[in-house]
Amino acid sequence: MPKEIVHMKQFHGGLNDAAENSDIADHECQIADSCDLSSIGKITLTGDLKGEDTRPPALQTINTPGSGLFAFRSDRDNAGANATCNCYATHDLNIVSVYDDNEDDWLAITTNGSGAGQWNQTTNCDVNFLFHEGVLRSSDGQLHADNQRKWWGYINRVHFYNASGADTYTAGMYDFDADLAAPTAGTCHLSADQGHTTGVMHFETNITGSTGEIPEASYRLAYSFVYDHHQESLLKEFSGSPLAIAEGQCFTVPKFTFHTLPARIVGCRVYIQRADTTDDWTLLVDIDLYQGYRLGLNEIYVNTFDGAANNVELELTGKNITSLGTETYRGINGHAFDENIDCSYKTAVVVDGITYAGNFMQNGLKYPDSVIKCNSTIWGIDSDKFPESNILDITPNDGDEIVKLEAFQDKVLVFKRQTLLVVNYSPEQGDYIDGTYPFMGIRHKGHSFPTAHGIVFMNDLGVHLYDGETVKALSDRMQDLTIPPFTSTAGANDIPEPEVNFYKTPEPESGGKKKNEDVATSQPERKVM
Amino acid sequence: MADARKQHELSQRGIDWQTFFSNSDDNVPILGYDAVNDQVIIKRAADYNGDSSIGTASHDIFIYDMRTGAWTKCMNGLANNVDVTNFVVNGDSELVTKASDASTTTIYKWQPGPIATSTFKWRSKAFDFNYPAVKKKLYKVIIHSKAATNMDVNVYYDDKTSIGSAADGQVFDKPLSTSTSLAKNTLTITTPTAFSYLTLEIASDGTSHADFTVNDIALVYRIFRPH
Repeated sequence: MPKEIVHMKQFHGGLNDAAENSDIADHECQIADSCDLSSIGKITLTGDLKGEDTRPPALQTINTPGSGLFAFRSDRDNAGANATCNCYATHDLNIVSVYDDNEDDWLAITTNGSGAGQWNQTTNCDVNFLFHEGVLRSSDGQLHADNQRKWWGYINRVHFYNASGADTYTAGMYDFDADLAAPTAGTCHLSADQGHTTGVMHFETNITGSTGEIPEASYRLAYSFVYDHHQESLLKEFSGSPLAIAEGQCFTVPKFTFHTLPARIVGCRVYIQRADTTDDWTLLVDIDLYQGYRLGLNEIYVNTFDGAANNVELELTGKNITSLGTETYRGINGHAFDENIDCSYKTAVVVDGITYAGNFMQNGLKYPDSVIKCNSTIWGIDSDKFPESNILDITPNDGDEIVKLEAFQDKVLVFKRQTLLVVNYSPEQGDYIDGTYPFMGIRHKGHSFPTAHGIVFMNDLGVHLYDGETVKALSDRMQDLTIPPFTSTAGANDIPEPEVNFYKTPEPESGGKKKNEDVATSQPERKVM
Repeated sequence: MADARKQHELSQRGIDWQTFFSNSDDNVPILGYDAVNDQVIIKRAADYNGDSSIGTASHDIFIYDMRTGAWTKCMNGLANNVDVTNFVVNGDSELVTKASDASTTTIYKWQPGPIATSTFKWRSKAFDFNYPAVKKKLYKVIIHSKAATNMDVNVYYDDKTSIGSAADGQVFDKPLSTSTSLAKNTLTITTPTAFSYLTLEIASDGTSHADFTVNDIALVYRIFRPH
C-alpha cells in the first residue's frame, strides 16, 4: 500500500479522558494539561491562577476554605467619599473587613465582643455578603444569636432639624445591626414631661379637653422606629400605657421628647389600640426626625423640633388629636404587629429588589430547608425585614438542607443538598415552583456560580448549566452510535479506504456541543504519497 | 438526557469527573467563571490539606470553554500550598480568590493564557485509522508550530505511555523550532514499527515559551495488508 498522510488541524474538542482512548472523537484528546484549545485550529498554553491583585494589603487568614470572599462596586469608598471603586469584603474569624481601591486599605466593620452591635462568636464564622441599595449586609452563616446580621452603609443625616440641639451625623459609612430593633423603652404620661433618655422617645399625651371624638375607653399606646427610609420596626408599648380616655377627651397639644437616637433611625410612629380588644394598632402620629410630625401618611409634615442638645422636644403646637385615623400597622407594613421580622441566614440573593434568604434562623428557631423573603409595601422594599408570614410555603419542608440560593433572570435557584428547586414569581400566583430537579443539589456554596449563560453548578453527577429553561450537562459528551462498531478488510487485496468521515469536526449546539458531526469544509486532508 | 437526543446518540461522560470530584466534602472544590473569556474555572480543592493524598493536585484546575464545549486542565494552577476562599468576579471582571497560608494572604486572579509553563502536555486520541486490527507503520510526523522551546514530541504505539524500545514508539527530544514564527518541523521515525494504535504526545521538558503554538500535525503512515 502507498504511504498516506493525514492532517490534524482541529483540536477544539478538548479533553475526553473518560472514554476509551481510541474511541474518542478525532479532535478530542486524552490529555490536555495546561492547554488552551479554545481557539479553533491551534493548541496554545492556558493561563493560571497565579496572577496577583497586588492592591489589597495582606490581611486575614481563611477560616472556611471555599467561602468568605465577596466583591462589589460601590459609589462610596470606605470613608464615605463619593468615589466609584472596586471593593472586597471578607472576614477573619468574626472580624468582617472591607477593602476599596480608592482608600486602598481594609476597614474592619465588625468588632469582637459582647457589647451592643458586636459579634461575640469567634469560631466557625461563615459570612454571607449581599450588596444592594448601597448597603453591604453580612450574615454569619453559623446562625448564632451572638452574631447578629450586620448593616454597613452610607449615612448623611440630621435628627431634630431646626432645633438648636439638632444631631448631625457626619456623612460617612456606618455599621449597625441589620435587624430592625424595636424601641426598648419609652414612657407615656397624661400630663407630666417624662424627660429625655438616650435612644428613647417619651410621650406626654395631655389627654384632656371636651371636644374629642375618640370613643371612651382605655387605650394602649406604643411606638416604633423607622429605619433608613421606610423600614418600620415592631412596636414597643409605652410604660404607663394603657391610659383612659374619657368621653370628649383628646390629645391636646401632645408632646414628644428626645435625647439622641441611632443614626440609622429616620423616624418614629406612634400607634394606639383599645385595651379591651386585640384589634390592629391605629396610627396616631408619624414623626420624621428631620421634617417633623404628621397625623397621617398622606399629610404634610410640620416641623416643631425645639430644644438644646440631648433635650429636644416635638410639641404638636396648636394641634389637638381629636379622632383616630384609618391607617393601621398592618395596612402600612403588610404584616401583623406581633410577627417575627428579624432573621439571620446562610445564603441570600436579590431578585428584582426582593431579598430571598435560605436556611435561616428566626426568633431562635432554625429553618434549614426553608426560604423566606423580605417585606415589600406600597412604600417600597424593606430589605431588612423578613416577616414570618413571608416564609415561602411552596418550598417543601423536606429536611433537605438549603446550601445556596442563586438568581438568574427573575428566578431564584434553591440549591438544596439533594435537589434543585427553581422558584419564579408572577403577580397572579405569587411565588411558585417553576422546576424541580432531583439529585441536582450541591454540597457547598462554592459549587455554583453565575455566568452569562446561566448558573453553572457541580455535584457528583458532573458539571451542569441551568440556562433559564432547563439543566444541561456540561461534563458529558455524546457518542454517535451510527459509527460502525467494527469493520472488515474482507480480503488481502481489498483494504477499504478509510471512511470519509475519518476526521470529524463538531458542530456547535446551543448550550452544549455536539460531537462527531461531519462538516464538509473540515474533512481531513488525506493523500496518497 | 439521552431520550431528548437523537436515537442514535448516547450521552457519555466526557471527563473523568468522579476522580476529580472525589472527597469533595474534604477538598471543597470551587467553581468560578472567567467573564472575559467565557470559561468556567473549577479548582480541585479550596482546602489543600483536606485530602492530603492529592498533594499539589489540589491546585489543578478544570477549564470548560463555553463556546467550544471543550474541557482542558491547568496543572498546579497556584504557586503554593494554600487554602483559598470561593471565587468572585471583581469590578474589573477578573476572577479572583483569596489565598492564605500560615504567614500571608494574597488575592490571586485568574490570568488567561498564554502563560509559560513546565506542565504542558497534550496527548491525542489513540488513532487506529479506522482499522484497529490492521497493522500500520508511521514514517514521519510533520508539525507546524512556533516558539516550541523545551517541547518534546513522543510517539506511542498501542497505548504505551513510555518508551522502552522502538516497539513502544519514539521520543523526540526538543525537536521543534524555537522560532517565534510558524515553522515546519519534520520528524522522521528512526525505526518504523508496526502498530495497531498510534498516540502522539507533545509535552514540555522544562519551561516553555509563552507563545508556544501548534497549528497542525500531519502523520505519514502506511497500512499493511493482512497476510
